[in-house]
Amino acid sequence: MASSCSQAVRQHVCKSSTILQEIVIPKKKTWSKEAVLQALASTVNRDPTASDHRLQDDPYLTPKTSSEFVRFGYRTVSGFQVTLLERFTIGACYGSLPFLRPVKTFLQTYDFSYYSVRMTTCPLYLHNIIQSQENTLSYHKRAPCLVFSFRENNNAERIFALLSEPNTHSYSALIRGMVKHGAYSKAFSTYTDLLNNPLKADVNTFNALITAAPEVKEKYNEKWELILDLLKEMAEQKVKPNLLTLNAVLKALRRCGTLGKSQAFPVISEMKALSIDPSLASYNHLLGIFYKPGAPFLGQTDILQEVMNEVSGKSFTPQDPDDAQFFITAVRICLDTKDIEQAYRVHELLGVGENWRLLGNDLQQNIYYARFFSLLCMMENIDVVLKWYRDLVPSVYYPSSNIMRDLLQALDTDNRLDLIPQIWKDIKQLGHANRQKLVEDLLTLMAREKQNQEVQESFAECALDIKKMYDTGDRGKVIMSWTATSLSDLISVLLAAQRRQDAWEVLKLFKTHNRVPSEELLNKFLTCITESGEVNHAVELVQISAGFCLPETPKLIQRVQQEFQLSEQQKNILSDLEIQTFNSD
Amino acid sequence: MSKNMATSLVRQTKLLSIVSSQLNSAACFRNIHCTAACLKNRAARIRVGKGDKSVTYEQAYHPHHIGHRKGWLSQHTSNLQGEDGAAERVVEDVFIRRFMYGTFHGCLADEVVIKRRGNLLVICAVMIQKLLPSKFYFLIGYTVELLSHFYKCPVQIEMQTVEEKVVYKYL
Repeated sequence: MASSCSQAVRQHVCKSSTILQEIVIPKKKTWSKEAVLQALASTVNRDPTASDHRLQDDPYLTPKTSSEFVRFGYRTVSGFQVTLLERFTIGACYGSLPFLRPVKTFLQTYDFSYYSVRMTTCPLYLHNIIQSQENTLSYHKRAPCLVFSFRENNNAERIFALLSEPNTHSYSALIRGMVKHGAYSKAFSTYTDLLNNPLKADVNTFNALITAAPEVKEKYNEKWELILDLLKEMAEQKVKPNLLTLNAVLKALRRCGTLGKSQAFPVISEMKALSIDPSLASYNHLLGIFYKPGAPFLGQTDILQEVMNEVSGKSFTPQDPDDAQFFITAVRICLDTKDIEQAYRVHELLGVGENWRLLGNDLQQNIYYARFFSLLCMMENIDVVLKWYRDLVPSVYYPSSNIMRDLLQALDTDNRLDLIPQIWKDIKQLGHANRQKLVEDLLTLMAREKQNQEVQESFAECALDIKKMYDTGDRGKVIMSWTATSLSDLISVLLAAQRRQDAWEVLKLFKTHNRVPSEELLNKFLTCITESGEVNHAVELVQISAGFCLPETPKLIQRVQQEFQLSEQQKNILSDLEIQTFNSD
Repeated sequence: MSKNMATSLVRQTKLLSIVSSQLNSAACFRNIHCTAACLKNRAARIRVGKGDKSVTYEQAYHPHHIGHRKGWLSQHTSNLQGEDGAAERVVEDVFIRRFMYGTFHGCLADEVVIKRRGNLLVICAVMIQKLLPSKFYFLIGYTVELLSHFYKCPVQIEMQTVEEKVVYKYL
């Protein structure tokens, strides 16, 4: 922030100094009448300099990369999860009865597989039935039960067989579990068992079956017919469809190709007719039906616009697990169609009411911002890009190395290469300093043109910093390897800043890393040496060139002989080399 | 008669001397205190020593400096006129301090400050950078969840880290 201000001031000063000779600094700063209110108003929105509210406000405890950010979030949550285990096993030690959850009403299961916590004592509380090898357990009561997620389907079927009188709930749970774990045809056969029993299925069962429908049939129209059959049976059994039902239908239509496109809007009108408000998940599926990733878009940009018209200004609550996909899909479509206007609208929607909750978990948040930011880099000019950069990074978003390359390209397009050293600092902080492609791009951009003096100085500092990154890093760090281009770029940058000593050291690296310097590099180097008048270096340069058996060695020899005053010894060396190269030709 | 009185007196003095000599033996030794007792204050004070003991600001200043050079470690409103629950707050505070000391073992750089704002319990701690940040976050999540379920109120931890314990002086 401060650096961009100082840049602006510098530019302003340059402009004004061409008109006037001196700058008048005012004695007193006057504030407008609304200054206090403006200052207060600026505290209401998100503070771009602060990190996420879930993190501690301390430099040691602030994450610097996106992986750290995600990891810290998970670690906090795993701390939460461990207490659940404690509360059930050692809960008695902490005393009072309200502290312990009453055993009989404990129906939920926890999917501990991610955090690998062993819940080995819970069966003691409940029934001592079955303990699965992966340490996730299913709990139920002997009465009507709700069996949620389970890793091993066999467990569920065994428990189900043990139940004396299965009812709607248990069948529903079983079918849902089967669909969740991919046993689609089994789910349908269980459904027929259910009907034969004879029992009625409930809404959740139907939702699960509709989700399973596209998997069981191959052709589009068969899939659609199966779904229609299910819906008809639903009507016969007088089960009211809810939001999840229609969302499941839309989701299935995504798998139905062109049929999906024709049937999507009738489904939406059905929703309106049943007075079910479409949630963000419905809009997500709609966008998914019409904008297939990778397919060419012709005249379909209106769909996104219409969806945004419907959706803008409204605040949504999470009703469907797929709600979280909406923003990511929408911004992907904006990226593919290069539509910056709609992207701004999508971002605005994020600011309405509670919609920020629907951005999903930390990974999804990162994906959203990655796409949004790369669209900005492509479409907007550098000032806007930098404004968003300062706003988002690193309080909300930790860019990946690809996004940093996009940012560098944007800098290049708008000719703001002087900002490269600052970006390099950010790159180091984000942990991308050892990405080869990124660093090579950086070096190429710096080496391409000659800048003015102070920019060149900063480039040289930056280049030396980069050189340190290539050297043997700490153990465990990815080490980059030098290429001929990157070495030549580095040398050009150093030479342009008159750092001959450093450039000389880098030249030696060619030999150590088995890379061959190019002709123009050696010529450039020779020109530099001529300016400084170091004859020894010139001779050494020729020797190096001869060492690589480069074709331009004779030309170099000629140049040195012309431009320098050589001593006897040096003349002998050069003539030897000349003969050598002549012989090898 | 006087002879009898004399002999009884002699016998009594003899008895007294025997008794007092027994009293003066090693088994029961009870002397008279002639000077006044020195009732020293020993609460929360680290005594001056050789000069090798490092002491933080909190430890260096004695309790009579609270309100003048030190602040309060526990902030709640139950000591105001007409408010109750002071004793319960004290018991909670003691538990929380022991809990923090044990959970973040070896990491606490100074005393834990406990603030209560309405229903919210804020635990402010300064830690030494002894563990990795991800380990800190795990322990923070654990503490917050456990204490909030125990005390049935939202619990927040505000943590600050320092590289080493901040020494104020050496005593």
